[in-house]
Amino acid sequence: MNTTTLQPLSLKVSRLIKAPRERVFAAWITPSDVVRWLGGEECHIEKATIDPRVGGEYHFKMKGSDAGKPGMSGIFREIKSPERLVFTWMTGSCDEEMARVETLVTVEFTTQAGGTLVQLTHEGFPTEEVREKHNYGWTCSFDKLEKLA
Amino acid sequence: MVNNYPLSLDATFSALADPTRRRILESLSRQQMRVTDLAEPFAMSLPAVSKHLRVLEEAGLLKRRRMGREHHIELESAPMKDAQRWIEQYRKFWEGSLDALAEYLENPNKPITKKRKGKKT
Repeated sequence: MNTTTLQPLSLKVSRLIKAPRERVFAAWITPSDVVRWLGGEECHIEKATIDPRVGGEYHFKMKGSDAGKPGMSGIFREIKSPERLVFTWMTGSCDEEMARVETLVTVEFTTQAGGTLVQLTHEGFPTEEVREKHNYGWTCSFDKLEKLA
Repeated sequence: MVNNYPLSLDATFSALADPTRRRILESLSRQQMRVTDLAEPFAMSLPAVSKHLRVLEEAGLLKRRRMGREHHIELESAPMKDAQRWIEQYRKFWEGSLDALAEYLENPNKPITKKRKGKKT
């Protein structure tokens, strides 16, 4: 889209990684890989459970100061190896009564000279329709993410 | 963190989910406007515009000032900043993650937790 319409509901991040596309793709759906990088230096994942098929779920258990809190989880919506991955994303809630937030992450993998370009889009509440299906609440994970700021 | 922050952010996203409302906010980001001015570019009836304005107002995204018989609409920037802040937090999260992914895949032989032992002879 070429319009100047406000698009405050999504963010895009990309990175060229010097590794073959198949390897980069696999690193997103293989638990032993995910625990090594997801969350960067600030958030640490202790255990990842991943069921990499459409409709399959993933759960990431946090360690460190967040140990014991519900971690991150979601459902795979699209898996096109090694090109494209779409999954819902929910941050853990520290309040059981609080409804959980579901957002959508799309990751695209393109082979380029020198490696693989990873382009990630994270959308807040993409449509009214999605919003109506869920009760959203917000979570303490933001406190954690805020530390990154 | 303020207690009602979660709820207000939810309302912000909900209000922003509609493209017409996003365009209204965009117009308002340039200048304050009258309701009639806002209706014009969207080829919408006044009641239709008023309905969108009410949703935005309830989400705290705009302010209404009465000047005589006219209503002037102005952007309220705080909730937008909250939404922006949410986005920035996630941007940092993903940038940090992708950096770590690159580091992990580009240096597969680099030990991360393993300690190097001294030479054995």
